[in-house]
Amino acid sequence: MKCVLVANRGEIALRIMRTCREMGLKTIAVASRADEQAPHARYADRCVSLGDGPVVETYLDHAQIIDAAVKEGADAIHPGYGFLSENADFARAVEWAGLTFIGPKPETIALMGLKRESKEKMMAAGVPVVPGYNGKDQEAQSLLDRARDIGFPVLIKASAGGGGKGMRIVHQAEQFVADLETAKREAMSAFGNDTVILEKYLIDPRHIEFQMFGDHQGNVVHLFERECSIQRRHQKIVEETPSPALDDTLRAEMGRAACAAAASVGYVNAGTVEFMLDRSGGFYFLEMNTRLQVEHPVTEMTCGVDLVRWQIRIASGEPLPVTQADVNRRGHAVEVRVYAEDPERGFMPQTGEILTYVEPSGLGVRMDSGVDQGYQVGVLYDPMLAKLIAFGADRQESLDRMSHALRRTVIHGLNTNCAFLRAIVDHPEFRAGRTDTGFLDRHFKQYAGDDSCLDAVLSLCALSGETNPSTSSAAETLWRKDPWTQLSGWRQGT
Amino acid sequence: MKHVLAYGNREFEVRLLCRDPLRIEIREGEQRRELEWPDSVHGHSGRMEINGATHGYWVTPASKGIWVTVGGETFFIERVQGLGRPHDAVPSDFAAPMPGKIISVKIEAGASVEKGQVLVLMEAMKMEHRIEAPCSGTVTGVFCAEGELVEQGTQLLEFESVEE
Repeated sequence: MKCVLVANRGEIALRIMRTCREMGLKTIAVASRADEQAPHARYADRCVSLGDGPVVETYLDHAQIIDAAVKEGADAIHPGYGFLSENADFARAVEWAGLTFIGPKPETIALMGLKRESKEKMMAAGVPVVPGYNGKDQEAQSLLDRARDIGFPVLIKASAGGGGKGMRIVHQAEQFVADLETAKREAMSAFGNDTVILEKYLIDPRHIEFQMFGDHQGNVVHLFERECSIQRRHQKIVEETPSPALDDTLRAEMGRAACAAAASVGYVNAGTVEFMLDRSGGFYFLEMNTRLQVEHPVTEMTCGVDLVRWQIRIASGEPLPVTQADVNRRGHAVEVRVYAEDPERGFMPQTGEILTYVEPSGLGVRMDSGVDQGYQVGVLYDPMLAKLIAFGADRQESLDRMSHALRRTVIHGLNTNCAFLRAIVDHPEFRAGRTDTGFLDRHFKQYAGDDSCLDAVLSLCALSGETNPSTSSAAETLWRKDPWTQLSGWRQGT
Repeated sequence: MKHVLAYGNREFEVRLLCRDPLRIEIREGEQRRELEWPDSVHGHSGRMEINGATHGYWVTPASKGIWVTVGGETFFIERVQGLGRPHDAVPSDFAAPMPGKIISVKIEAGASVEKGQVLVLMEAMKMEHRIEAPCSGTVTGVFCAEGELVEQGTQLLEFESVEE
């Protein structure tokens, strides 16, 4: 393998290309018109434009992306997460084009993408699953009957889905049909398939997942768990490892189940087995994500492994570099997802230009970012700007480090959730490890930032107004001074 | 020089009395307070001692206001131009909460609706948002159509609550 096309954008495209470059591989980025100046497009050796238009015509356009890879001489495609990462047709098309798909086998992606079939497969492999309905009858009335059989609360999920889209919790039978319609519409627009499944909704379980790796030689290992219980609308926002909920016995038991799940499908490359853990220590298979996860860095920090490097080596046919007995970890790592959203106003996504951007640094602090100063946050893509990861000798150290790093993260120009994330990390119940999926509803139903520094803020505003009487922004001023913007349109020989 | 600044619904008149040490007068309605910052404060980023603790700060002036981060909290302070509160123009509950696409308009003008009834569905950033009736009432006007792309703050509906 000499050249990799990364079929993604934002922080994950940059993160993957960084490893490629470390390994001496040439990198090809793809970018929509809106992203032509985005950091990922500028970082790659070359960038291929995917043109203008909605996501289906750019980052989801199989033909355009594979053509770009062939034309640029790439021999592999890394899909990142989201977009085409769990699209079996795409993975197959990549192979047909004579390229390597850096991920699992297309048939594994197809199987795990179908929640009904994957659940049956897991039951056959002896992995515990949540009671539910994943039948072919999709008629509203019969789904309602099934929901009644399972017992409310019931969770409606898109069969092809992930990331909280097409997902609804229904507490009462009366709301079921309206929520079903919404879930089906979201599922159709996000995944092009409106088949839903129903599941018993466990009250306030923990979300525990295992990082899996398999190779073409048939070996499977896990790299321990990640706890991702802090979720808003089923979207993870804080992830950590080790989980404060597991003891060594339970961890070993869950790890064995995760390995059985991956081995039952002959899993190759990186994947994640997700479990729900209830209060009594019972755990249930939720799904297997056939890709690199957003939260993979916490595993990298504690296991001392570059998961993207492993992905590339395994995709090239190499065996896993370790056996289960060799997998070790130390310390504790936590990750938070920095979003362009306003936690004080219903978490509305925010748009605008990033005028000031300061990343935190220091021992055990890692920022995987997709943006920089001058970047325009628009409505076209996911509002996640960056992930901040902190590593420490133990949980307290890594949480203290995270809290401080969040204080030193500055993004001006639009609202972000940085202060909200810090409030979570510093919350006594979070510090005590009482982190289940009901945590945010219990403790952050109403969130208002701390404005005890308002007088200081107003003082700084007054000082700034006197120092710089111009009403134009600092970035605008910089922009005017930037020599690159002073160039005329004159060009030679083009 | 007087600076008229707004944060949320609050409006302040702020005056710089002395630059070094930094002394500031803040008037909020009838209240007046004067502050002195023990450390000298210079530039767009630095440190400030607040209630005995030292905090890093960053300031970015923008076209309509000023972004300030102090102690890990970020504020956008609006500059108020002329008279009147900036929040007179605050969109009502029936303004589009974000830029996006109208996927469905569930009612027509004149419709009587129940509390919690879904009036408009919109989609933005791949998520659905429901605009619901806050109480029983009548939709007196509908200003959006299915498939329309709307800007943040666009008035979608006019609504009158039923007198109890």
